[in-house]
Amino acid sequence: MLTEALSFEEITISRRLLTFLRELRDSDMDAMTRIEIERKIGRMLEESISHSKMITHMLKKVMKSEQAEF
Amino acid sequence: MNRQNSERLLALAKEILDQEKKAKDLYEEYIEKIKDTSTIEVLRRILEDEKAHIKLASEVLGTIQHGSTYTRLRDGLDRLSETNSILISCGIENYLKVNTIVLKYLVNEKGSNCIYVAINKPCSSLIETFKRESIDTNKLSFVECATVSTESKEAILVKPDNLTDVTMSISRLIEKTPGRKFVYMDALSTLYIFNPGNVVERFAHHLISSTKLKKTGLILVSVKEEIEEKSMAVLTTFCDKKIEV
Repeated sequence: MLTEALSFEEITISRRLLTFLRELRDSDMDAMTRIEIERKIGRMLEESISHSKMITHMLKKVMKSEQAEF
Repeated sequence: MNRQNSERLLALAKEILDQEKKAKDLYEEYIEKIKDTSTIEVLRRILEDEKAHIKLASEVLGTIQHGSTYTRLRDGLDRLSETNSILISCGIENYLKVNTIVLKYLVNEKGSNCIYVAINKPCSSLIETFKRESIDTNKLSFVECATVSTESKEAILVKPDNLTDVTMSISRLIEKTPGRKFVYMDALSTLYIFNPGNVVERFAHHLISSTKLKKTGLILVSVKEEIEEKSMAVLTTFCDKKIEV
């Protein structure tokens, strides 16, 4: 379960957010709107990275104790 | 922004929104299955973030679709409570966009029921438009201020020059509608065509007071081109908040 969550956060979500940010920066959207969207997507990306770290930490703990969650 | 750029960003934002919803479902499922309390605590924190991400992603989607109008409206609508009245003053070019944004946000996202007072268009055509925009029409009930139709399956019909009937029909639907609800009047400014200015303003004042008493939010839409500055000033003083788009 936790490995699935980790791959979801690291691969699926974070990658899509990064692609979005790259395309947004290359677009000709007006500056005010772009900044507003960048701020929101940036926050989502930061939190997604932090989720990956939290899940990795939990996985390490689970591996040590050999619990079923792994 | 050019069309190609906008469509690409829109598609990506939709994907992100779908993935965030999927993430929320996944974490909810894990919380149910996992027994370790410290793991559950961390997963709950992540779940709260995922809920916030769904909100952020849907805001991003709306901003790409509707531009800065969306952000201004949504910020203002966040302050709509059960005893609040909001006046939305919009130009004719933004009028349809405003309807869609308000209903998508308050009905689809927040789950409120809406008593829609249709003054400008017959509700059959409104329902068609709303369905095309994926607005949950089951949460809408209508008072139609018709000038031509004499019967309707979907709405209570009243004449736009009979404001006493309009008030009574709204009250009846408020009583009948369960849960969290708001009255949406589209568009108050059109009533000035059928009634003297002071009568419309007395009607608006009464409606604001009565919805407050009945703990029902109220949104009055006014199209700038249809209303004189003096009347707009009067309506602004009656309402708790005004949003200009």
